[in-house]
Amino acid sequence: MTDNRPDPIHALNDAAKEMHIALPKGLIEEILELESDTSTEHSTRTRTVAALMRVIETRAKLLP
Amino acid sequence: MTSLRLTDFGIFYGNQGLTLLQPGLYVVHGHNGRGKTTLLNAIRWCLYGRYSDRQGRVVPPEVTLNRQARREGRAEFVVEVILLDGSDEYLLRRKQFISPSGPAPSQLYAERNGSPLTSGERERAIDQILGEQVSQFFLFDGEQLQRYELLLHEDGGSTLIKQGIEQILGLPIIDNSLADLGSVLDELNKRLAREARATEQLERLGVRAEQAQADLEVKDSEIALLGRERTEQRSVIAAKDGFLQKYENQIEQVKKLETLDERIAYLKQNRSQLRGLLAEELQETWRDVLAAAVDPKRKELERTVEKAQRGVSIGVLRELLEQSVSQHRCALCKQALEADDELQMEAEWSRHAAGTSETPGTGDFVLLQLLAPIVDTGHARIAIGLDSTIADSHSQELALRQESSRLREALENLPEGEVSDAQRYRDRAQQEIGRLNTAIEQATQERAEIDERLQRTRDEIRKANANTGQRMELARAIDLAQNLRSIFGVAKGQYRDQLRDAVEASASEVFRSLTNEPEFKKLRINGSYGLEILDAHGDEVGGRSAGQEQVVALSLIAALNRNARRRAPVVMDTPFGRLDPIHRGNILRFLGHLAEQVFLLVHGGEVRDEDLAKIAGDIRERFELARVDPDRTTIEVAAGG
Repeated sequence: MTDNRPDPIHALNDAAKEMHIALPKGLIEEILELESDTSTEHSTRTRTVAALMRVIETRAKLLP
Repeated sequence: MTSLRLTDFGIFYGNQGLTLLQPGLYVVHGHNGRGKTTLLNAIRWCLYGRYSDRQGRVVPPEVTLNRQARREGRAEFVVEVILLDGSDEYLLRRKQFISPSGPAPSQLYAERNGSPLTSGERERAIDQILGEQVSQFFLFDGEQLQRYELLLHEDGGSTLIKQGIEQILGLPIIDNSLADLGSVLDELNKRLAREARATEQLERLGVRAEQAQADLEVKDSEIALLGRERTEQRSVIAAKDGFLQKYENQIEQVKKLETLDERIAYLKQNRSQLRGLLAEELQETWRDVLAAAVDPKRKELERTVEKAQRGVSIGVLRELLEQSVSQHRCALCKQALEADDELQMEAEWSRHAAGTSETPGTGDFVLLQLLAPIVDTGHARIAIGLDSTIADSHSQELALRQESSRLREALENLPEGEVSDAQRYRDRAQQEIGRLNTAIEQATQERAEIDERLQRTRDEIRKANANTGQRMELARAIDLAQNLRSIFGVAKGQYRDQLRDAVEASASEVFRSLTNEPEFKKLRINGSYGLEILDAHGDEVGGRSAGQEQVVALSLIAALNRNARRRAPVVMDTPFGRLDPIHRGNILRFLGHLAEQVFLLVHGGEVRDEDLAKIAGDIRERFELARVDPDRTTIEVAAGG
């Protein structure tokens, strides 16, 4: 069985290119890894948001 | 799934199960009532702690416990599943105890690669491996495949099914990212608002610090001025003290002279009062002088008057006795007299009658009355005392005047006016220094309060300034989060379209291999993932049969499994009920390509041995559900399986 499933990373990179937005390398992959836990449980969502906040703050510090 | 074990679950008495070699197609064969659906439900129960009957009602645990086991006194049933997810092996074991008072909540034990998982980890692991919402596309009852027909009607389609499809395809990863980025942006913007308030506060602090600094300078000037004034006043005191020191002795004598003058004035005033008292006393003094001369005559008169008064009394008594004796009756009470009484009265009368009678003169009484006020009252002695005191006062005054004259002669050269002025100025300067000391003390205290306020303000300014760097980082984080949200927002629609296209292409491919109608060329997907059959002209085929619906549903399930973000075993219970032999044959041939691991639960009426023989190469293993009695089934590996 060939794996030709659409990849969200491609969709996101295409959208960024289309919008002329340059993102730090690997940021989209990092966010999708965080969001791979799709549980709707409140504590899970809260934890994911906190982790996402840390990722964005860390990346923002490194921006020129 | 590499293992499924059941203990007293439903028709499965005791401990039994399946050990599997993945991947491949597994066929579980059994007649009606032998436990095919029970196997499907056992997997659902182990994963989610519940399962439903075909009417959608949750089956209570006491119904699930094997009847024979219950008769033998057992009250617990267990299901254990071992699943492989990538390189991780998960063991899930769920137990249900049924006490006489009813069933307690079931207990789930889970471990990953031999390590026990916590409660939260267990829930997350199950959600990752095969979430309940997406399980309908992996663990399904063929009798209920018609539910997917609802998807054809976008307005009335089942939202849960649509959500399940999007979840299985991985769309929630974008939805969740968007929602979480929104939460992150909200939080960052809140922080930005707080920082903006902090900036405003910083400005206010700056104004406050400037004001406090100015107040402090004003207060310092005020204190300095007061200090200079106090120094001036001290100079005045020092100068006046220097001047007054030269006349120190004279000043003492001046003070003494003032005291003498005050004393003389007092004696004068006191003497004047004493003279007034003496005048009053002298008005009565003549009585005391005369009393000594009058006393012998007064005593003589008193004796004469007393004797005369006694003579009058005896005369009256004699008359009364005489009257009583003559009348033989008491002259006072008028009672008759006894003989003895009369004799006694006669004797008495005779005795008084024999005495002489003397009558006092009227002049004696008058003279005695005139002499009555002339007695010794003591006023003379008081007057003599007052006179003596006045004389003493005179003597004292004279002595004081002599002393005063002596002092005045000694002070003839003293510059009295200058000394007096110097003393006045000195006293005034001393009072002024007292006032200045109070003012300086108060101003110093106010200065300390202003200084403390200024220090506090400076501390707050230092803290607020420390956040300047954080504000710049915050602004960058907000820009980054906004960019990400824009990208995820645009990508969401594009990704969903790509997924739909992929599902449509996969479903069409599967459908063409399953359908018995060569004119049906493809399936077209709608917004709810409903699939319409299109003919060779691209027109939609209406009026689909129950068998065609089942084929379309299986095509959708196959397409979803091909495009799912995660792989999972597919368990199909009685999927051929509405299909003709051609469709059945097509599907049987396709099953090996539906997913990496497929379980087919069928009865003899659905699939015959010769049908299975045609796909024998695809079948990894066959199991037979064998009847022991109405309450017991055993799982056996089928001959040739």
